[in-house]
Amino acid sequence: MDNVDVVRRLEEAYGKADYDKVRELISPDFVPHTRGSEMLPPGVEGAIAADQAAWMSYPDKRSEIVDIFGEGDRVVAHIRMTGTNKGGLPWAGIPPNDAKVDTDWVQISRHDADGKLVETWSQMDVPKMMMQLGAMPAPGGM
Amino acid sequence: MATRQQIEEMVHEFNERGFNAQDVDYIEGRLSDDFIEHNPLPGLGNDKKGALETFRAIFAATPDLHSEVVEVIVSGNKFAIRSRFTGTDSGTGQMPGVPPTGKSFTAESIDVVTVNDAGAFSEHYGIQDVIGIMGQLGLLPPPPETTATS
Repeated sequence: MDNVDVVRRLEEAYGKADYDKVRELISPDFVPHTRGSEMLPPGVEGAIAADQAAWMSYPDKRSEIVDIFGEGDRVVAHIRMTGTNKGGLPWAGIPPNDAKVDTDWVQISRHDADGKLVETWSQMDVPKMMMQLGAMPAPGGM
Repeated sequence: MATRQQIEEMVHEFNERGFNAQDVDYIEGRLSDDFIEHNPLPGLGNDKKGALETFRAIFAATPDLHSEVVEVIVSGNKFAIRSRFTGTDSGTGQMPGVPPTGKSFTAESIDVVTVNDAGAFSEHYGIQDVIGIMGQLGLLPPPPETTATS
C-alpha cells in the first residue's frame, strides 16, 4: 500500500468514524501543524478528537478527496467537506443553526517507512466556513 | 514534460522574481493564456486576467511581502509548494474597507500548480492561513458568544 492509498483509507476511516482503523494508519506520536491543534490531545488521539468534534458539529458530514498525489514520504491531498451545523462549534462560540457548510483544506502529510502518518501541515479555508456559518461577515460590497 | 529539477528551478525563480521582486510582467509570461485560478480574491475572475489582478492586489496590500519556499513536492506535471510569507500591512489594506494597520505578519501557504507541455503554469489552487494573518493584524471579529454575553 503506497502512501497515497494510506491517505485515501484514512479519509474512508474518518467517514465511518472507524477509529481503530485510524489508529492503524496514523502513528501514535503523530504531530499536526494545524491551527487549533494545540487545543487537542497529543498524537493520534488528537486527530480522533478533531474528527469526533466535526461529527458533533456536522452529523451529516461528508468528505471527498478532490486531488491527491505523492512524492517520496510526502502526500498532498485536497479535501472537500460538506455538512449541516446541527451541533454548533463550541470552540468558536457558534451555536447550532442549520447552516450548510461547504469548505476545503489542503494537507501535506509525512509518512514513516510503514506508511503511517507521522506529521501533517494543512491549511483550511476557515474564513469561507465562518461566513457560511454566519460567524464572519462576507467581504463588503463583493 | 518538465523534469523534477526543472520544476524545482521554476518554483524558486517564480518565488524570487514573482513574489519577492513583484514583477507582474514576469508572472504574466509564466502563466499560460488558458490559466485557471481556482482561488482568486473575492470579486476577481478565475482566468489569467483575474490571477494577475489578484497578484497586483496582494502586492498593493503588502508592498514589502517576502516569500520563502519551505518545501516542494512534485508528481508528474503537478507540484505543491509549502511557503512562508512575511510582510507589513502598510499598503491598500488586507480587506475591502479596512484601512492598513501597519502591523507585520508571518503566515504559511500551501499551493498546488499544474505545468503544461510548454512549461507554463496552467492551473493553481491554494489556501493561506488567513485567520493567522487577521489575528496578527488584530482584525479578527470577536466570537459570537462574546457579543451575546455583553
